[in-house]
Amino acid sequence: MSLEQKYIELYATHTGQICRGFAPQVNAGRRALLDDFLASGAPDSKGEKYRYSDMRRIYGRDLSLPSIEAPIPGREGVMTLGNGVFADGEPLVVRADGVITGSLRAASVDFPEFVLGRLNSVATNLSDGLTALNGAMMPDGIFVYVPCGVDGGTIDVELLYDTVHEDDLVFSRMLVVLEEGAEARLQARYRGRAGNHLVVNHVTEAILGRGAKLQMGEAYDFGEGNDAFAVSYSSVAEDGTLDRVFVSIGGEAVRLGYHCDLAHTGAQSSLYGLFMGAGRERIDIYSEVDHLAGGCSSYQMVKGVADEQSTGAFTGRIYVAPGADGTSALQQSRNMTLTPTSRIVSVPQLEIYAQDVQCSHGASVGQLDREAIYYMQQRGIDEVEAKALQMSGFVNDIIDRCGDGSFVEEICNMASGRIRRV
Amino acid sequence: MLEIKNLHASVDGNEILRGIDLTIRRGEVHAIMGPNGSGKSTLASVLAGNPRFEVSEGTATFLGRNLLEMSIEERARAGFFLGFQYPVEIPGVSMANFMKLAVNEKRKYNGLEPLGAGEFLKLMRQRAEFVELDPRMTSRAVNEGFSGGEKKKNEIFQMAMLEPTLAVLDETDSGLDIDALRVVATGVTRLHTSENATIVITHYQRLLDYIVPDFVHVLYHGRIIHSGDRELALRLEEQGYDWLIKNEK
Ligand SMILES: Nc1ncnc2c1ncn2[C@@H]1O[C@H](COP(=O)(O)OP(=O)(O)OP(=O)(O)O)[C@@H](O)[C@H]1O
Ligand SMILES: [Mg+2]
Repeated sequence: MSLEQKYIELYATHTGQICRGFAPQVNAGRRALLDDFLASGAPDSKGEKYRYSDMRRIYGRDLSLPSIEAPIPGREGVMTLGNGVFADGEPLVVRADGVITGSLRAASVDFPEFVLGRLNSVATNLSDGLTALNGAMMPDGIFVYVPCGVDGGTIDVELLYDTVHEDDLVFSRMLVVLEEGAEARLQARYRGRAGNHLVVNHVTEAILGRGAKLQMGEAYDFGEGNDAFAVSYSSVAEDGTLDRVFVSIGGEAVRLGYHCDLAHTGAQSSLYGLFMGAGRERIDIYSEVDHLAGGCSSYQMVKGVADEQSTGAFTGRIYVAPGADGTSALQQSRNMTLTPTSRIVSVPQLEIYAQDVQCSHGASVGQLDREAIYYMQQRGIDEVEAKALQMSGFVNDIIDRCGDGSFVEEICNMASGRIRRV
Repeated sequence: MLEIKNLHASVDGNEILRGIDLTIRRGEVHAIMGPNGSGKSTLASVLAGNPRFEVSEGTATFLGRNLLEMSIEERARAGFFLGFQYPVEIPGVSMANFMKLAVNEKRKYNGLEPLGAGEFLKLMRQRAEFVELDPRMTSRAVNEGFSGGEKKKNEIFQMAMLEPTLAVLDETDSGLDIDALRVVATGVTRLHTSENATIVITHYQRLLDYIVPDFVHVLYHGRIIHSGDRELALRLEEQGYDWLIKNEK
């Protein structure tokens, strides 16, 4: 059976499970999305965008959808998506200030026109079959809405991938909408159960209105032996600001995609990231910032650490559209390989069609500094500790950006767990 | 406390130290002088345990133990301190974190409880004052972006934090302005007791006006070719090394 046929069948046999609880208007669009996927297929490493991830190999495995039920209980005060399905009691909470959070399918029933108008509106990248496949197959998702001028505060989210069977393909989704002048801080954790050989397909869409400010922190630990494709699409309107920071550890083959459209004058975005690979892990970060209007600015600083035989790749694409004059776009990729068998490649791609553009990029790959380790040892710190200290020195500025409180503590623990392995 | 006998050491197959004999007792200050490239820093590195150097012959006993068999960090915890000629930058690691670890490792080695956050901060503030180090420096990354003089001062600050039994200061005076030299030198002198010892490696007699040495040694081509008291340093300042080196040849 061809890969495409397999997904037609998977969709056909699970339509009921996938569509359950969604507004019919949303479900009506699924088949077309599946066709989009079938038309483009799962990308392999021959194409430019997926040079460092062979998704066709992963999606060609004999995968099934997770058996439903046995919902995963959430943590207090944290919206939880278990295997893609909203797990908490109240499916949709409408706060007094108008902020709405909860299950995407519940939102699609209560506000069908609103959801329909926004879902798949930024994630329209039809050349990306896996995004289309997500639109066809997602069983639920997280929904966040912050109305005009409201500060939605901190919103905690957890996406758990913990299947009963091995070799499951798990879809999850997130839709975040901030209206004009709205603000919010979103903190999301993605966690997979190690060793289940599951494949995660996650798509986030974030839509920021005029002057809206979204801070988004993401902690990824997909778990040993699991593969993941997690991609986010955002669009930022006039004078809006999107600040993102992510930390990723764990996962067999992990592909993280960040697509950001700076759609109108004065829009800004920043992306700070850290990935830490070990064992035979492969992590592929693809970031694309599209400057579609003039006077927008973007900044990217992504750091990578590769230990043992792991490999990493960072592709940073900056597109400056014709007429997007007065653009400022900066990109830095800083990496460290800890062993002779680890490898990180850094690929900047700049495409500039405008005038008066300030655009720069830098990339480096270094190793542990033996002299610094010796210096620390001379002060009584043993080699293991000295290496750990040096590593923390490398990663700390990214972690420090993850805000404060328990979220940054969780990220700290994640990262130091990795550092201790060195 | 330190006894070096017939020490030979090489790097990449080149013999740099060619038979060093040196005895240091508690309460003493020794100065080591000698032309560039004579092996002064190499001697310091070998004593610290720098893995770049290979000891091919000789012994070194520190506080009754075979120094050459101890790991770098063990030597440090046992009380050996090296003030680096070229202090190393450690980006992203704050001085405070670095010193807290170092101080507590040493305490652990000596069977003491680790210092709590409050006690540690107090100690750090007090010792920073001691070498007139701007306390804000302690929240910066280790040596990162420090000026040449600040790096040297920072070495003495670390020495004050760790209170070593034997300190080797490798050209700690170079790069210091006149006031900083005085501050650093008086700092070192104040840290000196009848229980510890200091070896200062220097090119300038100026430093020895503050830190008065009991012995002055001249290292040349991997050997100590002459030893004397502080008068020797004065004579070297006036006459250079030629008269000694000619003798040697
Ligand atoms: N890898 C190496 N291969 C060969 N020679 C080396 C190597 N490393 C150091 N040396 C040499 O060892 C000698 C001693 O160097 P060292 O740094 O100990 O001198 P020093 O007395 O401290 O000099 P200075 O007063 O300039 O600081 C120098 O001639 C130096 O060039
Ligand atoms: Mg030297």
